[in-house]
This record gives sequence, C-alpha cells and structure tokens, in this order.
Amino acid sequence: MDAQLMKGILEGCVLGIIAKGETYGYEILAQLELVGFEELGEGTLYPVLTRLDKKGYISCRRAKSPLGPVRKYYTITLPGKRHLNEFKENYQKITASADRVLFDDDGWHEREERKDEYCIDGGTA
Amino acid sequence: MNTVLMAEQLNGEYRQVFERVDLYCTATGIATEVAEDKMMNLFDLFMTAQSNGKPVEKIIGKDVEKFCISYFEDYSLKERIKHIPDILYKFCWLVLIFSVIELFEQGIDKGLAEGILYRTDILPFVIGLAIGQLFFGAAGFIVSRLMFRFPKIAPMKFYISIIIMFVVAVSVVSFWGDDIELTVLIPIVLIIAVCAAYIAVYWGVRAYRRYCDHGSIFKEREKIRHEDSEGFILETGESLIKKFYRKNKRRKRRGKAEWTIWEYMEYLCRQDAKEVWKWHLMALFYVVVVAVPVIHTLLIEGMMDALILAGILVVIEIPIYFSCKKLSDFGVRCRKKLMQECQAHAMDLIEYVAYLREKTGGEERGEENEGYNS
Repeated sequence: MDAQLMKGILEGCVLGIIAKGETYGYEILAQLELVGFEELGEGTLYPVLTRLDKKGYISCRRAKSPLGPVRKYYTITLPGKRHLNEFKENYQKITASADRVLFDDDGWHEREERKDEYCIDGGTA
Repeated sequence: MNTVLMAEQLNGEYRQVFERVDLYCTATGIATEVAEDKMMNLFDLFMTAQSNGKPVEKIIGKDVEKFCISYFEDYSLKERIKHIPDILYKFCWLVLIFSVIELFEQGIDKGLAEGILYRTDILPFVIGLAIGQLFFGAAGFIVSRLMFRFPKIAPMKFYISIIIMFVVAVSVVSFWGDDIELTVLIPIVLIIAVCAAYIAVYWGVRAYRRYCDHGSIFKEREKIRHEDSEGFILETGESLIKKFYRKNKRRKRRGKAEWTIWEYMEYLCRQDAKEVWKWHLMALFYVVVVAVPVIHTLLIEGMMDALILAGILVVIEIPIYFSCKKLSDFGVRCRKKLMQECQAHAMDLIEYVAYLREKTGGEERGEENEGYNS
C-alpha cells in the first residue's frame, strides 16, 4: 500500500477502532489486518498511538495483561470523538471528490463540455 | 525493568528481534523512561503474538532495521533535550559523592572550619561528563548503523567497548592532566549545596510525575521472576549438564566411579542445602574484615579516624556481601526450580533440558545469534 496514502488515513482509522471500545496495541493491529491493512507493523502503529495520546484524543491506562507484562489500554476521549467526526466528514468529502476524478468518466466529459460552453481556459463562446 | 529477563521469556525469532531492538534502543541513547515504556510495550505485543502463534514478521515487518527506525522515530532531538535533566541528575550524584568525601578529608586534615572554606576544581568532572557523553554517543552511532549488517555485535560487546574507550580516555587525561593549567575553583560547600538542591528538586518533580501517571510516587515495578523463565531454566540446565560431564571426567581420572545423572542431581541438592550455612559464615567473615582494621585504627589513630574507616568499610563491604548473597540465593532458587521441574515431569536433567530445548525452539547457549534478517 502507498505509504503516503496510509499516513493520511491511519490516524483516523486507529481512532475509529479505539472509539468502538477500550483496546490495546495487538488488538488494534489485528483489527487493522482484518479490514485489509496488511503489513502494518507495531513500528507504524506505535508512533500513531503516541501522537493521538499527545494530542489528547485518546487516554491510556496501564494494567497487567493475562500473560503478565504491563499493557497499555487505550480509550477515546471527548476531543478524540470530535476529531473522529471531523475526520469522517473530511474523509467523505475527499473520497467523493477523488472518486469523481478517478472513476467517473461520464461526469468528466460533461465537465469538459461545460468548460468550453462557458469560455473557461480561453475557449470562445 | 530488565530487558534481559523479558527476552528470556520470548522464544526463537521473537527473542532475537527483541534483543536487536533493545540493543538499538541502548545504542541510540534513548532516555531510560522512554526506553522502558517502549520496550515494555513491545514485550507485551511479542508475548501476545507469540502465544497466538503469529510469526514475528507479521508484527514488525520483514526488515528489523526499518522497524527500529520507525519505532523510535518519535524520539527526536527535542525529546533528547528534554532528557538532559536526567543526565545532569546522575552527574550531580557523582559530584556530590566525591565532594562529600573530599570535604571529609579536608575536615580531618585541616579541621572543620578550614575544611568548609576549601575550594575544589570542578573541571575534571565537567571534562569527564563531556568525554563520557561523547564516547557513548560515538559508540552508539557506530553500533546502531552496523548492528544490522553484523549480527555478532551483541550488547556485551557494546558495553565493553564503551568501558575500554572510557578507561583509555581517563588514562590519557590523567597522564597529560598536569600540563593543563586551566582550573575552575569553586567552594566545596557550594558544590554540595547546589548538587543536593538539584537532586531534591529532581526527586520532587519525578515523584509528582509518577503520581500523576500511576497514582504512586514510587516507580512501577514489573516483577519478572528470572527463575520462572523457561529460557533461563534451560540455560541453567545446560550449564549444569556441562559441569556433570566435567565432574565425571575428573572422577574417572582419579579412578572413581562415574556418577549417574540422578546421583549428580542428588549431589546438587546437597550442595544447595550447604549454601545457607556458607553465607552465615561469610557474614561472620565480613564482620571480622571490618572490625579488625577499625579496632586497630581506634587504638592507634583515635576515635574519629576509626569512625571514618568504619563508615567507609561498611559502605563498601555491605553492598558487596549482599550482591554476592543475592547472586548465590538466585543460583540456589534456579537449581531448586530446575529439580522441581525434573521431578514434576518425571525426567532426569538431561532429558528435561532436551525437552525444554525442543519446546522453546532455543539453540544451545554460547552460540552467537545468527541474526533475524541480517
């Protein structure tokens, strides 16, 4: 998957997973893998979690895991929920626009004709 | 937190990768608190993934080096600057201890009033700090760049090389130090006061941060029992088996009958029972080692000198005694645990070690790690 593209949406996706309920690193990775984010390691996830924590979008509590090590459990905060909603809105707008450019051929020709009609790009009426 | 103990609870590739990440973390000079947090996080992740039978590639990707770089990428220059107070804290402790000892010496030689007014040269400490940081930084820079190409670079070699460089540097400075006329003389009492104040403020801030973090002013301690880790039990067992073969060779040379493995195991149990008495005798020995010179000094030099000597000897001897005892007790606990496991599995030592080796996927210790993806 394109790294730059991933970078833009990963934070939102991780926040979306955490919004569903308190969770931890391995579970988040497993969820991401399940929905198709393959080859996404802890090296990519951990900085995302750290950023979200620093921005105050998630809170973290430490507790012993069933296997013994101390584990960090993440929960979404109120600012995190607001940010997630904003992300979802922006994501929908961007993907709708991108879809029209990338996949909607008929719509593209229509817009080209309208450009000529209204003398855009130096066309004459 | 001990990453060595953590690594021993991991098997095969997980252990290899964990150790490489730990070495990278040390070599790049990540601050202790940050390193502890990240390594504990990684340990939890690896333990969970290992128990679910996932290959380590699925967790960290195919390239360990890339993983290390991205895992620690948020530890920027800004973060490093934020941890300068930690370095200064250790520096202040060092300066405080040496200054207190020097004040004592001056007080004894010249009397208390003159001793307090004594001015000491702070420059050697500053130079030592600078050299130490420089060497650690240089060694870390080299190791972090080479360790993935040369998997035989192991933590012990890294620390040994740092120590060697530091000793060489101190020797050079000591040799040519007299030619350096630059000194920075500061009243010793002022140095002690400033260092003590800094340490007190540091403790206060740290306690406050810990309290905000996990509701206690004390550090969260992860109690990993070393002797419970299969990796370490395997190591202990392999070492005992080697000793068993060596013992039998010696017995054969002396014309004695060789032991069976069961006889050897009984012998180990008898030896461990004797350990308790050994340490009672050692305690008596240490008391004598401290008491004799103190009494001698009391008779010849006087009370003050005797008290100072007693203080110094106690400070030196007590940690040595308890460290050695701790190590010995730990060895006894490990062997006891191993014998218990052998009994529980109805196996002798050799059979149980072979069983553990197969279970953990471990290789015989003493071999260098081949290196995952290196």
